[in-house]
Amino acid sequence: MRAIVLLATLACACATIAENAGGDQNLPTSGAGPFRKLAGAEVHGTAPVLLDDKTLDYRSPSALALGDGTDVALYFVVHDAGGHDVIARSRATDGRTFYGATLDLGHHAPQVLAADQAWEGPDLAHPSVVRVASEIWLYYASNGSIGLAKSTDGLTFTKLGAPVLAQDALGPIDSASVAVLPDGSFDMMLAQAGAIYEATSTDGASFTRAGTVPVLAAGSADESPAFDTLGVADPFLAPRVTAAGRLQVRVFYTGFAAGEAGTASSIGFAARYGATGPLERAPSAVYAIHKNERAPSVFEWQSGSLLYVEQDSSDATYRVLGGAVAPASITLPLPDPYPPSP
Amino acid sequence: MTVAGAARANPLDTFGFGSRGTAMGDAQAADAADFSANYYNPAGLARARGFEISVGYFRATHELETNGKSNGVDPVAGLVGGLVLPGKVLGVPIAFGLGLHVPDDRLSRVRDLPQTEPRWELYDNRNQRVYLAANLAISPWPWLQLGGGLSFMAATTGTLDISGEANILNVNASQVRHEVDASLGAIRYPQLGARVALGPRAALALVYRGQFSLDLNLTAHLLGEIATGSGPGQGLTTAYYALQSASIDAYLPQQVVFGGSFLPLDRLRVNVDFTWINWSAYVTPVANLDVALDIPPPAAGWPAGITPPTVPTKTPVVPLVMSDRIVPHVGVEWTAFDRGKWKAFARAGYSFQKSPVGPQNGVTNYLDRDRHTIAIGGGFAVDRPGAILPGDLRFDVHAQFDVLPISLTLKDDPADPIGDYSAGGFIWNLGATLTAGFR
Repeated sequence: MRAIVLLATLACACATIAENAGGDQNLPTSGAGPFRKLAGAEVHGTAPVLLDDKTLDYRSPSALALGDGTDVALYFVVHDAGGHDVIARSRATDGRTFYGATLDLGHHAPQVLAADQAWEGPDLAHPSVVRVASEIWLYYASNGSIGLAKSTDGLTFTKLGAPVLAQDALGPIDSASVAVLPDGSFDMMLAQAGAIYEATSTDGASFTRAGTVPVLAAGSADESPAFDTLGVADPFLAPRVTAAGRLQVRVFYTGFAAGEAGTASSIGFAARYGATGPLERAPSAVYAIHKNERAPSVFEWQSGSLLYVEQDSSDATYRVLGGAVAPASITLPLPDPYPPSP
Repeated sequence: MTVAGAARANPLDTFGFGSRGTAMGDAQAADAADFSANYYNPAGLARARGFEISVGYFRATHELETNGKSNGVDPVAGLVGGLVLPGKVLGVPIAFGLGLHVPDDRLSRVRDLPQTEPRWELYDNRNQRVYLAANLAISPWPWLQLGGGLSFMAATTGTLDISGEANILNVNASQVRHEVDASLGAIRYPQLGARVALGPRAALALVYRGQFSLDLNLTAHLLGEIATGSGPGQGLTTAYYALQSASIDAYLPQQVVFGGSFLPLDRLRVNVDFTWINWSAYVTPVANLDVALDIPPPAAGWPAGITPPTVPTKTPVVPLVMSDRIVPHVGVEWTAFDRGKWKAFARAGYSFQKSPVGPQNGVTNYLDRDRHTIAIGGGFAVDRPGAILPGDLRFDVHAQFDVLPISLTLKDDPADPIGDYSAGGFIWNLGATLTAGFR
């Protein structure tokens, strides 16, 4: 009997204080949000702003993963000393703390590309950076067409002499995003006349339109909640192969809708299975903070996705780059120190 | 906003009750005669030969994953035990029984999730709770036993109140007070059982376990001043936000078990059970939310850059479609050693449950897979081990291994936020039970 009592006591002694409930780790996600804006403890400075300078007027981010972790390069548009728009680059080891940010005293994100070709206008816009073998290819918009520059180190680029896709009867191309599909071909989503069209290429240097029908147009007027009923722009193309082996062409974009003070913008998401066909839109915006956020770019790592957008500054007089994260339930660790190089 | 409700059901349905029954694949309806009869078939209590008390422990570890990564589903571990108190009334054998499972991490767990969030519906929350059963059994004739009683499960309700000031220009100056009022209650459901002995070597049994459901009502009230500063005249407006969430916190479908126990050889017992589970009656674990938001605009209008929140659009609830299932259980027990006062047993069991959860190719993600359960175990019994115990002492162990084969879920909508995924895994359940019988 004593043995029984002893065993029962030991069994009861196994009781412990519960740890945090589990069951929600590593949940599947298509990386499409919804996103939450970065919190104060997750960034240096004022969240969710990552890059803020009234003179530079940061716009149109494009992220490039530099490894398997959170080391990321960010290309974006800034004003140069002459007031023209050029493309600059920065880097963050944690995806958030960028070289040359306001609090990174003494450092400035270096300019990597400026307008100097005959076909270009005075400004460059909307960089789209993609890794191709050992090179980094930087697509950009200028004068209504899309150009390409190549680099081996991500800092020094050599331009092709002609646009890879020129404007046509549909009008000037506002922006474009390029990605390499699993079969090695190149896919481009381009914004033109308030809709998103598609072009393809076998070598990335010469694109052919995939029809004249947009793959994504403005949402219908009865859309609720309305977020892209007035037009779509700024595509960011992020193809992936799903767990089932299906090609999923994902596109983040800027959606425009009527707001309290005119037009408001937010970030939408659309996708399709397979290499061709129209995109199906998500029923609501994946990121909306009422800061005229637009020009999305997404960086994915093992634990989540970071969304970079341009948005209004605190006084709404210029543009800054802000960040958001998905899944919204995760908490990012404290930010890293500023990196020593861009 | 739509959120899913919390725990549904019963750890014993998943992991068995006591090491002997678990090791025999839970095929116990016509065989259980110890404390485990409180769950398997209360009629079996009337077959007890004397007062018995049992205590044991088990731990079930989930290795459930999606896309090759563990989802960290909590283990289920805790004390099991019970007693059987037989006697006679007017010469008719009767017995009273108690069965108990007390998890050692938490007494109950409540969780509200968006209906789109993936969760292992049958393994995550539902087994994290206390179980208690009290039964009476009678044997009016030696060949017939009847029993019934109530089972009790823990359940939770709660209220959240928040009040204070929200300073929209200086978050650090905001003050919020909150009050949580949660209560741990119990819900009862009936169980009935009958056992018919067809002779010394065969018996049949029929068991009914009732369904239960428990409403989970959560309310939240937020009342506060929205201000641009702490000084006089800087208050903008008074905001009121109320949320009423109504869902099913606990639901267990009714079950009917038909079982048999046979002795084809003196040393070999074979048990077979078939359990019908009324999964199609499963209540969709999604809360209906009513939200009220009242933020009158300030007299001078909102400051530049401030946009007051609006009530989110109510998301339609997508029903969870489940199908009834008949779950076969088979168990064998071989008396490996029988020398006088010492006996030793080897046991094995198997059961299979086809997943009752319908296809998840839409917006919901109730993860589940077919479940193969393989169990082994052993035990020994010693008759009259000492003067202090004029009965017997039995010690049983079990190892249960569940396999949920990994398979794919493909989403119809390419813009689905979850996308395609693979899901599956396995579960380990190890435990032991010690029983002391008094004659």
